[in-house]
Amino acid sequence: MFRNYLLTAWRNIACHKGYSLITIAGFALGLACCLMIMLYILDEMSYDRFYPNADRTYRIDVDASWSDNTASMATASAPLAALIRREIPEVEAVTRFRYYGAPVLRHGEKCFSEERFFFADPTFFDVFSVPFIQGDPRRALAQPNAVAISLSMARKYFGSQEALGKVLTADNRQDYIVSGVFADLPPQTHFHYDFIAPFGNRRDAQADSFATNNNFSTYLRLRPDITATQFAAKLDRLVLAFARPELEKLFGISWAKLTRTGAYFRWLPQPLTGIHLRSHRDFEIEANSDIRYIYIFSLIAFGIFALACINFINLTTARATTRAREVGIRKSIGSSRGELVRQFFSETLLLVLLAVLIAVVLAQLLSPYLDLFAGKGMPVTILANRSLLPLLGGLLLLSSLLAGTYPAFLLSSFRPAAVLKGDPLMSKKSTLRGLLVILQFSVSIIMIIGTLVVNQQLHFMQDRNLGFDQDQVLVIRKANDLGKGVRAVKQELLARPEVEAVSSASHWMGDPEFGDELYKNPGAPAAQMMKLQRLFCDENFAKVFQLRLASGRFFDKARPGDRKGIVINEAAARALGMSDPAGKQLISMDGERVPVLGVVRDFHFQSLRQRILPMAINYWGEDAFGPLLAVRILTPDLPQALAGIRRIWQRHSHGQSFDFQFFDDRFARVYAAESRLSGQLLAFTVLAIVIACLGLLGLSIFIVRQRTKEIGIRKVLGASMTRISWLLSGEFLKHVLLASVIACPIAYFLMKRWLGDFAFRIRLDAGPFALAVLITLGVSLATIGIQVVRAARANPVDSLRYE
Amino acid sequence: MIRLMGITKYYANAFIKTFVLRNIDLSVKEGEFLTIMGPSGAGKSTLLYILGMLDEASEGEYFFCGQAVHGLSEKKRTQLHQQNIGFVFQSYHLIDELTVCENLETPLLYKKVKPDERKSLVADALDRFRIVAKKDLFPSQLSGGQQQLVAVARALIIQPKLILADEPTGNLNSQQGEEIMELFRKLNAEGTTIIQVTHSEKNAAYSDRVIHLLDGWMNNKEEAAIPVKNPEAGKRKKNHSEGT
Repeated sequence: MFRNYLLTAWRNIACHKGYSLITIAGFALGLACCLMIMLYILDEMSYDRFYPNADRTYRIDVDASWSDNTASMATASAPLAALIRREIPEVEAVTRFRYYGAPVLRHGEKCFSEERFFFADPTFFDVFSVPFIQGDPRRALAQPNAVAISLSMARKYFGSQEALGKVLTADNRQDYIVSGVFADLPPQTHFHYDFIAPFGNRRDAQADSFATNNNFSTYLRLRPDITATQFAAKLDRLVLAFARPELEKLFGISWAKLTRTGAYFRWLPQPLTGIHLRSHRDFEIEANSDIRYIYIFSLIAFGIFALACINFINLTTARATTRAREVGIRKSIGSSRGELVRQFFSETLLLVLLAVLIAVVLAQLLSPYLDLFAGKGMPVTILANRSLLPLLGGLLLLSSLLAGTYPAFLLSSFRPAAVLKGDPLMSKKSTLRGLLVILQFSVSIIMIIGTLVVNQQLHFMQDRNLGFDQDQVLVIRKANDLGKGVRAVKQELLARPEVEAVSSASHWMGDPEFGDELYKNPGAPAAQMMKLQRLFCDENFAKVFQLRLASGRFFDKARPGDRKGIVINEAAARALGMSDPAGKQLISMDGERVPVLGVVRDFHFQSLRQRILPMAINYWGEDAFGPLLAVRILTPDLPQALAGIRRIWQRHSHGQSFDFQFFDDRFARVYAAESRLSGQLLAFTVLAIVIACLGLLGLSIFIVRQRTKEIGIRKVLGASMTRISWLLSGEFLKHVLLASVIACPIAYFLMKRWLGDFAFRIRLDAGPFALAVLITLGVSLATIGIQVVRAARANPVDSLRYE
Repeated sequence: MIRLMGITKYYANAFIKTFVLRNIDLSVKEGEFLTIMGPSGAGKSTLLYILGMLDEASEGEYFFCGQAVHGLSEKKRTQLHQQNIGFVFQSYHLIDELTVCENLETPLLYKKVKPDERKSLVADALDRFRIVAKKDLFPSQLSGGQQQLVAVARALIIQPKLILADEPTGNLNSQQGEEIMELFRKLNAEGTTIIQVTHSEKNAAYSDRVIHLLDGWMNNKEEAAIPVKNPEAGKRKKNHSEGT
């Protein structure tokens, strides 16, 4: 029986090639999109799950708030780890680690700057249990000069030689002996490390303040017999016992008074597996993804899937007239309705199976353009994905059910008595089909609006005056690898005519985070310490980035006293409640008096997503060397200037690589997420429109065919071509208009929410909405146009001839 | 074998009931060859479809071999139908996407006949109707007569007690038509009950009994009157439709 079903189905597909092509192509395209998005979502959800006991592993986060400040940190204070181990017996293992910058490692001729070098407690591999290829994870960090390295690093430095016991020299100062080689981490982790060395005697790791100096990423594993809630309650108790006395002392008032003002201080357990998508704190180890992208893409996948299913349903039911006869015959030779339902289901299954196979190929071909994985620098072959098969199976079943049910029941319901007599099936307008078409238009319109709005916001952010000049600035990274040699480089650079200014700095605009420091207005109580973002630089920073001063002055190398002073931005002046702070003093957290030399006008040192935070710019003095060396160039001949700069660098670098970037390129990366989203939305929207158009095309072919006789009669009665075209397009136009009534409020709501994340955003006006409706109208008219015109021009004699 | 009592069929619109059949009483004995005649729109086909359980009467009772069809569920009715009734149509109604062989096999599939039995039944049918050479052809590759031959073979393959034929020769030329009618006569002689709908007096002559329908009424008293009034009407119409 099943063979008979498949046979009919296959011959049906083969005989009606055009119809099959439209149906399968649309479905395959839709499935390909869903497939890619689902693989992407699964990948995003799989983060850090490769660790055994990942579900019992937590990070300790710190949330604090006082006066107008809030701090939410992914790091905690140094002694907290030991405290937790001592006070909470349900904690199986706990470890801390910290990043101190990228050292330059050497082994013989091989010399690289290593970004993924962390210092940690010896218990590190107890919490992060990665498989060791050489060495013993429990003892790898026992010696103070030990370092455990990843397999790819072992290969990089030692090739095929045994890595264990070899020496890596860091920054020409410190030797590390390789004590273990662990397997490379998969890309799906929020924390990539290649080198782990023990803290040894580092002073900061032995600090004793529970509430301040939250510099250490602290991770732990709980016993299975304690829940996160219970653990959180225990942490709350620890806060009261250990952090409270310190905070009372720091702010100079009692805990009761402090909390009455709304201030709080919390230690919170953050599940390891939730970090990648849900954690957006200060001092994250790497920039995390965002659960909102999962939501956005789920919505897109859902929408496109709906489009594909609707296409299928509409095309199948529209073709019902041609299948009706077969239904009648089969019933007359003894088929029950159930058997027909089964037959049409098998047919759907076959079509969907074909579509799924094509979808896999399409997904493979399209994935480079959709850029879903590119953010991870991960080449993806869809076929190699482990989740692919179950996913395909699921898609196959789900879509067969969704797309097949209605047509199967509709087709099998035909009464043989009616269809076999050759009565024309009543060409009643199908309400359901109308509804589905409206739904399709709605999805398309929403997606077009989304694309337009995201694009608009992106341009708004890119075009906005940021308060500094981002052009013509070259930044050399890791300049501190040269140590004091940077000073000579600076001088030689300045001697070149095309170099206008050079500045060392700790951070540059667009860095995801800066350090921070607490200051207060001398007149204010201790509880009103304000958190200011902290940037270190030399006296030329303002010149290189063309910052403008609101009052006072920038640093001056001729005044040695400037080293103790700071320059703040206008936001900081507002936060501190000072109308003209230049020349006045602030009190730092240590109680020192810090002179404010000047106030710079607010500039967007972070993404326009965020409001401009208060900032304090600190002075290093002129011989300072920071990780960044920013060079403002004044020449049309960039390549030549670059070559000159490179020569100077190489003279002083002892083989250290010239790692540079143009500032504007780098700053554009601040909006990488939005920029990618904009591109992806565009791609998916185009695909969605293509799918919807395929459906529309198929539908218009059938509808025009169904109404041929009516058109003939109308023409005989004297209707003009234009009138007939209107008659045929009118229904589609009505559908588009109805769809826009549905789509616009939904899109407005969604876009309002999306824009809500941006401190600086466009106003949502009617423009994109109107444009989206127009685009949909235009595209759908173009799609059905050919059919309509053909029908309207046809000779009525042909259609009215008695059959 | 068949007993209809007060069968009435109408289509109800919002305000109007359109009657197709009115109060039909009819008995057909096993082994009988019955012809239903009447002008277009008289309700002949509808009656045939009701007899074939492909349509339901609006009112009235239908007993098939003593079973009350009007009281059966759709499932039971389908079973009764697939065990006992074979259909032959004017326009053959073969499944275009299936070959001759597969067309013959389909009713057996619905009847859930076992594969080897199915094969032998199909082979028998191909033999009997001398269409073995055509078994892998599709309906569109056959002439009308050949298609109707396949259609009859398909109707017979389940060894039905009753064959319902709706103008079986309507689309055939006279020689092909005669062959089909001869076939029916032979089947009838072998004991199969046959009910046919036709416009043709010539075809009606093959049957034991003729009933006439007019505007949904069955009127056996006028049995002789109608063909006399317009003896060639059916034939001419038939020829016309052959031409198209």
